[in-house]
Amino acid sequence: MLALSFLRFLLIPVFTHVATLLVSVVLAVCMCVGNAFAADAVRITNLSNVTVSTWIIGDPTVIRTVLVCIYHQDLRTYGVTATGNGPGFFLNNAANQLAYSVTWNDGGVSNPGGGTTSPMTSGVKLTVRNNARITTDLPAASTNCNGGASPTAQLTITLTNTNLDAARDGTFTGILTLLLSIT
Amino acid sequence: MKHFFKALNATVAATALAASTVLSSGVAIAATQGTLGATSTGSADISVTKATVAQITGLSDMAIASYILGDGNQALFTTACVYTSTVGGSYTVKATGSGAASAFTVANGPTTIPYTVVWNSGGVGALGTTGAALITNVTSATLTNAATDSATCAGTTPGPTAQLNVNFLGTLLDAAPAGTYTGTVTLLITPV
Repeated sequence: MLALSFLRFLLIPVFTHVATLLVSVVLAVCMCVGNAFAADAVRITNLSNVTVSTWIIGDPTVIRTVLVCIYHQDLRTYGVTATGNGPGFFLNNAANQLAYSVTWNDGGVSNPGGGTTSPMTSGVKLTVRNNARITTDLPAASTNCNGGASPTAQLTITLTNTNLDAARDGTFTGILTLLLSIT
Repeated sequence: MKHFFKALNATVAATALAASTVLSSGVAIAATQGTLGATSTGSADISVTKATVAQITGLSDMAIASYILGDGNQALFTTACVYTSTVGGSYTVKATGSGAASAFTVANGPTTIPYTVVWNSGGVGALGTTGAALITNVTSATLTNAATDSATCAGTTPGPTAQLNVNFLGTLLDAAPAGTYTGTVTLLITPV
């Protein structure tokens, strides 16, 4: 009986300590979950395909623009990386390639093509672009330019007539992938 | 005294047509839109179709100013600039005349004089009177040596790349009544 009492005297602090640890763990998890909800987020939408149905020798350089919606939760700034499927910005027709160039303009809602035009290199991030939509912009909480929100940036694809002249006849295709990041 | 000579003025107007081929661009997949996250990825398909084209320019009208009985066979020609965007400058040519059933004839009222057509595709600096004998409204075999770097044959090797030859037999000219005979030969170039 005396031995049992002694054992309980020893174990109670241990149980209490374990309980404290459990509480700590639970709190830590809750804090992590809380941080996840608060994580910064970005979104790129409004992309559209670029199709030049017929180009004939003597036609001018092809310049096509795509107005893009850039959303960044709390900040106007963002980073963007364009990657062609070359390596580099190339379109392909079997073994034949056709080079194109890409520029990015971060003009913002009122004038997506009126900001700084930056030439892009495939796979290389453009940092600190500006004028993204943020959560408080109207219409509020639109992350994809729905509800009447306007695009914020302009992607420009250029195929020079020199390159097109030199290219073989046929249809050249490629995919341009855009990775939007927080910085 | 019976006069056996006669004046005959035969003209052949050449017209040109060109054909192009636009290859199918296939079915494009819709652009993909990014989702909300620490990063967001979207993509766009890019497609450009460079059409296969041909052009014929530089043709001139041909005329026998005055044929007199006994002058013999008459050979007319005009050079032409044939351009194609195909590799090697390959093409076909189809000629049609302005006579009945597209016959190669010149006419003066109901009277006609037939002629033959020969297409020379020798290329710059190598043109002549020999070549492919064309049958009206029949596409030739594949020909080459068209310009490929300039639609007006003003590229690195400038100059006409083909020659249209129109030939009249003296015997047929002799047999025809005096007068002015005219006709048109139309050429359709198709890139191959």
